[in-house]
Amino acid sequence: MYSLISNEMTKLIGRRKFIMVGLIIAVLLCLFAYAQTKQSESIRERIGTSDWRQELQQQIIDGQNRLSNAGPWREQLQIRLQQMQYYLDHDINPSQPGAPTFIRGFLENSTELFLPLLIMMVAADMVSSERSLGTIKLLLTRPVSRFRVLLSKYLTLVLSVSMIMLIYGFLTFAISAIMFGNDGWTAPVLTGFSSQGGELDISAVRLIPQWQYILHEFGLAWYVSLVIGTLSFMLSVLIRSTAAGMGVMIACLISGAILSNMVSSWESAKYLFMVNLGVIGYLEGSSPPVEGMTLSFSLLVLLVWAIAGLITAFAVFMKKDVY
Amino acid sequence: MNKKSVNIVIMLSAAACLLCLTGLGWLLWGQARGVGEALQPATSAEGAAKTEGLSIVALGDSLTRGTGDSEGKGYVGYLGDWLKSRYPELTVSNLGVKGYTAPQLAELLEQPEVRRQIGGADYILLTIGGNDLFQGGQALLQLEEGIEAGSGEGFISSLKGILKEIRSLNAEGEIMLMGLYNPFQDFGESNLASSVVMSWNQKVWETASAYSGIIVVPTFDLFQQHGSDYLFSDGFHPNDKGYQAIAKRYLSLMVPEGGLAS
Amino acid sequence: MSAEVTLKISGLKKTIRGKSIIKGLDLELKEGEVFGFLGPNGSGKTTTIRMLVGLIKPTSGVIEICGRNVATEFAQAMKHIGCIVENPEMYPYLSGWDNLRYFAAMLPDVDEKRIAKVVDMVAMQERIHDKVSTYSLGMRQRLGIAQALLGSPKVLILDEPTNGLDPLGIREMRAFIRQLAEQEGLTVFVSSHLLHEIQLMCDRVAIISRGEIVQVDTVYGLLSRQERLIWRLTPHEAGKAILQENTTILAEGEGTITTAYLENEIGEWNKRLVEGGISVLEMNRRLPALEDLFLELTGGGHDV
Repeated sequence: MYSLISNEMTKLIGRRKFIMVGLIIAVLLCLFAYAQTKQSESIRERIGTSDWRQELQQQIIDGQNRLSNAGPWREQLQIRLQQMQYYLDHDINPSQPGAPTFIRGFLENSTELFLPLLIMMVAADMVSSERSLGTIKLLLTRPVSRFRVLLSKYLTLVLSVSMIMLIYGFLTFAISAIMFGNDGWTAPVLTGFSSQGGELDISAVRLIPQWQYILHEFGLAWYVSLVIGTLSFMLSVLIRSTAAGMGVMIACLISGAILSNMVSSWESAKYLFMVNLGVIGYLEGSSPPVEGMTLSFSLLVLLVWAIAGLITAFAVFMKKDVY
Repeated sequence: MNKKSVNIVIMLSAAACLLCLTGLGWLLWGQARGVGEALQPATSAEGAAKTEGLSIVALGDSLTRGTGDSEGKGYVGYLGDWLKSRYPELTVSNLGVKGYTAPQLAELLEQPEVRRQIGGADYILLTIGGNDLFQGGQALLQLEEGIEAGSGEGFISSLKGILKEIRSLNAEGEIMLMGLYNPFQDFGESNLASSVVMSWNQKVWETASAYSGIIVVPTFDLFQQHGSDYLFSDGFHPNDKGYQAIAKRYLSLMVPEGGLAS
Repeated sequence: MSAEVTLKISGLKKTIRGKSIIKGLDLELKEGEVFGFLGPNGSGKTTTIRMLVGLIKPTSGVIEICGRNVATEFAQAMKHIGCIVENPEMYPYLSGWDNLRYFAAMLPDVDEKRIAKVVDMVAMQERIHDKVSTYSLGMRQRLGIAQALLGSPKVLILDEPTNGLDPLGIREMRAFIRQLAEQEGLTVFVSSHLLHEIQLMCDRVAIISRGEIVQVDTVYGLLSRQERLIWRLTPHEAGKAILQENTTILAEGEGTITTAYLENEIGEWNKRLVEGGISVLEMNRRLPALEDLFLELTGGGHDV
């Protein structure tokens, strides 16, 4: 099995997939980091201080002013504000300047769309490219069962997802450490917020060091990426054309991003995988798209989708005639 | 391609995979185990936020926030811009919230961070009462009723509480309370409204004079002169010009020797 | 020759969406034999080959390679097969060597030495470390063969192996295939739609048309069955009449009469003609072109 996985990895490296992923991350990262510096600069300019309490207080007030015309996001904003107030009341800086805070925010913003897109670059053509190259004929006429061939591909996907997380983590760290300094790994962060009917529930709030929080975030991001990877992988088996497979997946992701903002009244939408991608939000304590969704619920929904996808992929791959 | 590099990539990936799994597992384990150490509430450091330069804290309603100003600066923003050339270390904290009434403001004053900021401020700018009086500016038709309800002792006692609170937090900083203007002078009942606002201002001034270091900044005359020229299209809030005129008046009170280029 | 049966097909059928594509094939191939699989496009050639290597699952029937059933003992069976199905597609972004190493990793007990050996066999040493995307079609074809030979297979299945090669390349390929069969004892199963090619390199030929095998025989046997004798007689009409009494006239040309070549009877016919006072000017024995035979057997009309 190891030699099969090593084969698959050879192909990924041969196609410079990881380098491409790395470049994309680097470019986007620079944009984000620049935007971040600009943003904090403008706040600083407005209130003329670098006292985080004053900054946070200003943010809360700004938020309160936006509440009246926040429309459907009102509830979410409200909870966000209550949370900020909680940080302020407990004298904990929610955004201690430095690389770790940037990583935390960047990761939270990239799990729903950016990371899945990167994963798709690897996963979406894992099988379909073999078919378009014609190499599938060679692959399937080895003395290796189809099950093992696909399994090795899937395990390689798991490894690649991890590799992308590693590249992502390393690059975000490197770039943000240069731009924002390397402080704040042990800064306290609050986690365990939840919301109940538009009100912040603080009964389970805990204080953890930032590095642990980031580790949790990476765990969740990895999980989401893996689920997206698995589904793209399935599409790659089902659909001949890589482009079509990617298109389907992107459509799902985008519809998920849209749906997450408007399904609060469509209860059963919570069983769609794309509505459940924002798992890091639970860590943060932002209100879920549909009332009553919890971290374990979302993880479970994603798991079910991934397993179903995997079973479909294997069933089809093992039965399908290759022309 | 080198077999070694493939092996290295696989090993690194596997390590990353384990690390992510650890993060996930730890999180789930922590969740399953339930609450960790409980948090001590309110450990805030009370000490005043005294900064080196001039410090301004603005409190109040939409007038402080700057509703109606095309850039959203409001008089606080313009004032800050102009003062900055003289005091580069200036900090301006605008804590105005649209629609705030006096009781709501009193509530805001209970927050430790707000108290801390007030404690360290050189100037405390205050606009309050507009919403208490006009009930959000919607109540033109029920102007009279509105005035009946608002001009009651409710507002005045809230205002007293607010001023007292601020004074107890900061004994030296100057409190500048904005007097109201009459936004309805182009309407038929302009005279009625004007007299209501004037008597309101009178009460406010009386209340304020009981405390030391409070300036009530009149704006009534500004809007009386320029009418709709100074008003935003909602007919209630000032526009850019209106805010600038207010800010100019504040500036002249804060920097009496003048000489500030605007 | 009591050679071992290496490839056995029995009762092979494939139905796709209710349409019968392959209607029951039976074949037995022996060690050291080059077997031609001939058929026009759309006759089921490619489908059959894909079933042989497990890419397509047969609707019914059994394929055994060295006694291993492809359907039930896939890995065991595939150990003995080397194949190129259609074009020899490889990963263009890897070098020839990396491609071979890639496929070697999927075979049991193939080391670098063996890779070097097959590269040697197909004479690719010079360019083997270049990327496959830079190879010419002929080089890819050779790399494909190298790949097929990696696992020291007993059966080599080549689908149109001379496709896209220049005449020199075709000749080399033919020689190479014969050499593999004769020296290494491989069974080589070659499909083609080029009769000429099959004629030159195969020991036996199967002709497939519309999903059925029309004929299986040695190349010579196949042809001789259709052998013709062309007569030139004088006087023509009288001679024709005598021949007609003994056999059927298949065709008449300008002063020529064509009949079947039946070795046992020709002496007798000749005697009759001489007795009838006819002089035989010419007796010409002619093997038909395989093309004619092919058209005849497959019912013509196909694009050959």
